[in-house]
Parts: sequence; structure tokens; C-alpha cells
Amino acid sequence: MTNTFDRHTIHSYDEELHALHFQVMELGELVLNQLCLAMESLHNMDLPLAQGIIDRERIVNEMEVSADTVVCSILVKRCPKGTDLRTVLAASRIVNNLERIGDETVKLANFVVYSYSNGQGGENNLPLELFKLGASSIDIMQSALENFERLDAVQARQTEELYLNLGREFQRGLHNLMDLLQSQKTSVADAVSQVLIMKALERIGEHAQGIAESVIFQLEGEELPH
Amino acid sequence: MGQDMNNPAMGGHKSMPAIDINFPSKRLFNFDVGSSARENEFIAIGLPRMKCSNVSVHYGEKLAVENVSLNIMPNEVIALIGPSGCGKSTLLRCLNRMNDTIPGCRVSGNITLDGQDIYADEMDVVPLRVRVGMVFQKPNPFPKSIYDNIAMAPRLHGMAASKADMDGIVESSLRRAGLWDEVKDSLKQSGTSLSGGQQQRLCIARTIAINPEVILMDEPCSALDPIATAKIEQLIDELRKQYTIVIVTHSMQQAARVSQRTAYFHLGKIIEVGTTEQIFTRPQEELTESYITGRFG
Repeated sequence: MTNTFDRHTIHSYDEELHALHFQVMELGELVLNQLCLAMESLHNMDLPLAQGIIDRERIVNEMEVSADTVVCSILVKRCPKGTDLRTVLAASRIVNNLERIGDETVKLANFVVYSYSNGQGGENNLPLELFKLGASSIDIMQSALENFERLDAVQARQTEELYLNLGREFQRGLHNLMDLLQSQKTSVADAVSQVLIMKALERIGEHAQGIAESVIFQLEGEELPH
Repeated sequence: MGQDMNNPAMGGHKSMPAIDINFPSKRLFNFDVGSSARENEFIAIGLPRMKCSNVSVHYGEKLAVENVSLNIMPNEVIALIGPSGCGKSTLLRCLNRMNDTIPGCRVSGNITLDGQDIYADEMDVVPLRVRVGMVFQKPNPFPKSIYDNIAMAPRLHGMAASKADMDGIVESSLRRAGLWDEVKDSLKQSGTSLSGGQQQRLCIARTIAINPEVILMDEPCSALDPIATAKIEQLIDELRKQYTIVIVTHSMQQAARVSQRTAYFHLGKIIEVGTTEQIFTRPQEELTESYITGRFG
């Protein structure tokens, strides 16, 4: 649709929607950065890096509350409708997804902290598949955020393929892990840790897919089945 | 990453089909007057209560409504929205021929009530306005008692055989308008002594006293405070079980709250009709989108 009425009659409404979009993008960038650092901290078993991720989770939560406040304010003041309503609802959903991705990244960082507290610090015994899974979840999240930034529903639909691929990698990782357990090449404790990490990465991919679905909802009004 | 809120994509694409709603197939309440076998037949097979086909209205040379077609289904509240001067009130007034009294007003096209052409030569406007009642923007009670405000029309149409019958109609109408408990002890008090919100509910009670099939409401809450507005909206919701309601409103929030379908008017034309949920979340037309989001003009 070509909208010849680009601006609201009340210009401050445009500014509020613009600010909300910007705020969500800022949170997205922070969470994406947290995820990249979490994978790096796992790869290098970098304790200070992991600790920094855990510390910054507070900022993620504060930004989520701040964005929620803006959403509430717009709902109360403007009673948005049509595209505006979908824009605000999508922003709210995306913020929610980002906050949960933030929680999952903290789980990854906590693994590094746990390793050190357990006397296993400094040594990366994690399989390569796990890092491939991490790279895939970063790809999905990056793609979803770019779709949101550009408001590109066509590309957002293609994120689903990345997510399905992540699911296949997750299943493969689990099978490999079971093989290792059966051949007693890994301990149960290590296997459990790896499953938890893989599950966190899979959940990150799911939330990133949720972001892409929100972009489609915002632009086309279509609610995709989960 | 940079932001581009002026991206045309912010306007959104429209791909969702309109979701139809299920209208109740039966009127839940039947009063003796105004209900007929023909009427019930129309309801049972899901035909429109009123149907406007290619309706145009001229005031002299000025075209106020242009080629409008609209179905009004039984037991629905349909909201007509749009900027001032778009023709929504003009169309509303055509539905019970209120425009007949305006010099120079010409109505063309076809409007039916339960399949009957309301502009047919043989159509008497008095019984038509019994069947299609109207509530106006400003409460306009008669300068008479509350009781007489309600009783006047039923008396005129010979609807009550006795004083007890009339008392029953007055009480029933006031109850259905949610006013009985507030005025039952002061029925002899003047209708004009009531508050604005009570006066409007009195006018609604007066309208339903003669058991219309359709109630037309022309911005019925524009002169009321939020609490009185809420009471009227609650009343509209309850009346929908028994009547078909067409409401003109400038408040999009009100349209969203009370109606099941919404029609958007622009420069005398209907731009879009859909379920209220669809119109306010996924309008299909650019003009509708621009109007409801406040980007208009």
C-alpha cells in the first residue's frame, strides 16, 4: 500500500512511534551483542566476559520495562488503530522476545561461571556442533532484527527457514550427544550441561522467529500460527 | 542500525480477508406491534433487515451521498464513521425518511426494510418511523412528565387497551433503557428535569416504547459525560439482542466498543465496510487507514 498520508495530524504521535521503534532496536542490538559475547565466552571459557554478560542483564531488563512503559503510554494517549495498533503491539511482543533471549544468554554465561566454580574453568570441552548451533541462532536473530529495522515482511517470512534449520541442527546435536553417552565418551554431567546450552540456543532461535512473526503481523496484519 | 519511520512499509500491507461474523438468526424479543410473519421470515433466512442499493442523496445541486449500497443485518450494531460532511448522517436520516422534510432533498436508489421499499408511493412514513425509530445527538424529551414522554407514542398508536397496559409499557421501556430504578418514584416529574444522560436514556426508552425494528442513533453520546456515555453504550449492547441499531459516531473508540460492523464514509461514498475488528486493525483501504490512524487531511 502506498500511503500518501505519511504523517499523523498530531505530529508528536509520529515521534512517539519513532521513539518506540528506536528503543526496540536499541534493545535488540544490546541483546544480539550479549548473545555474540556469550558464544565467545563459551568458546574461550572467558570468565570476565561471562560475568559482564550477567551484569548487563540488568540493563536489558531496565530497557524492557522502559519500552513497556512507552507502549502503555501510547495505548493510553493515542488509542492506536490500524497500522499504528499493530506497530505498538508488535513492538511489545518483540520487546518480550528480546527480554527472553536476554535470559537465555545469561544461561550461556552462567555455564562459564559454573565451570570455573566447578574447577573446570579455562578448558573448552564443548563439541563443535554446539558452536554451529550458536552461530545459527545468531544468524536468525540478526536476520529478525534486520527485518524489523527495515520493516521487511518478505524477508521476515524467510527467517522461518533459518529457524527450521536450527531445529534440525538441534536434533542432530542431541543424537550426537546420545551417541557419545552410549559410547561413554562423555560424562552424564557434561552431557546435561551441553543439552542445557543447546536448548538455550534453540529457544533463542524460537524467540527470534517470534520477532520475525511480529514484523509480519505489523506490516500485513497476519497472525502466523506458532 | 539506522531508523526509517518514513518507510512506506510503515503504512502496512493489507492481505487479511475480512472475517465475517455470525448474526443471530432470530430476534430474541417479539412485541405485538412491528413484528410480522414476513419480518420473521427475513430474519430466519439471514436476510438484511435494511438494504440500501445505489442510494444517492442531493440537497439541491449538492450531492451529499453518492451511490451507496449497504446491508444492515438483524440484531447487529453497525457504526457509520467518517469526517464531518461525509454523508453518514444524511444516509442515516434516509433510513426512516427524515430527509423528506428537508426542502430540495432528493433521494434516489432503493432502500428496503424487510424487503419492502420504504420510498414506495404506498409507504406511509408514520408507521415507517414506528418501525425505524431515531435517537438524536441532543436529548430532546418532551416538556412533559417522564411517564407521558414514554406513553405518548404508544397512546397515539393505540398500543395499550387499558391504563394497566400503558403502565406496563412505560415500566418495560424504562427498564429496558436502564432508567426504571432511577425514575420509578418520580414518573410525574418533568422529563426535562433529568440529567443529560438520563434524558438521553429517556429518549431511548421513548423510542423503544413502540417497539421499533431498527433504532437509528445520530451521535447519541456527543453531549454526554463519560459515565453517561458508558451507560448508553451498555444499553446499546443490551438493546442489540432485540433491535437492529445503526449508529453514527465521531468517536472511533465508541464505534469499536459498541458495533459489530463499521462502515467508513468519505465525501459521500462508502469506502469500506467490514467487521469492526477488521476495520480498526486491518483496514483494506488507504483512506480508511489514514482516517482511523489520524493521518487524514
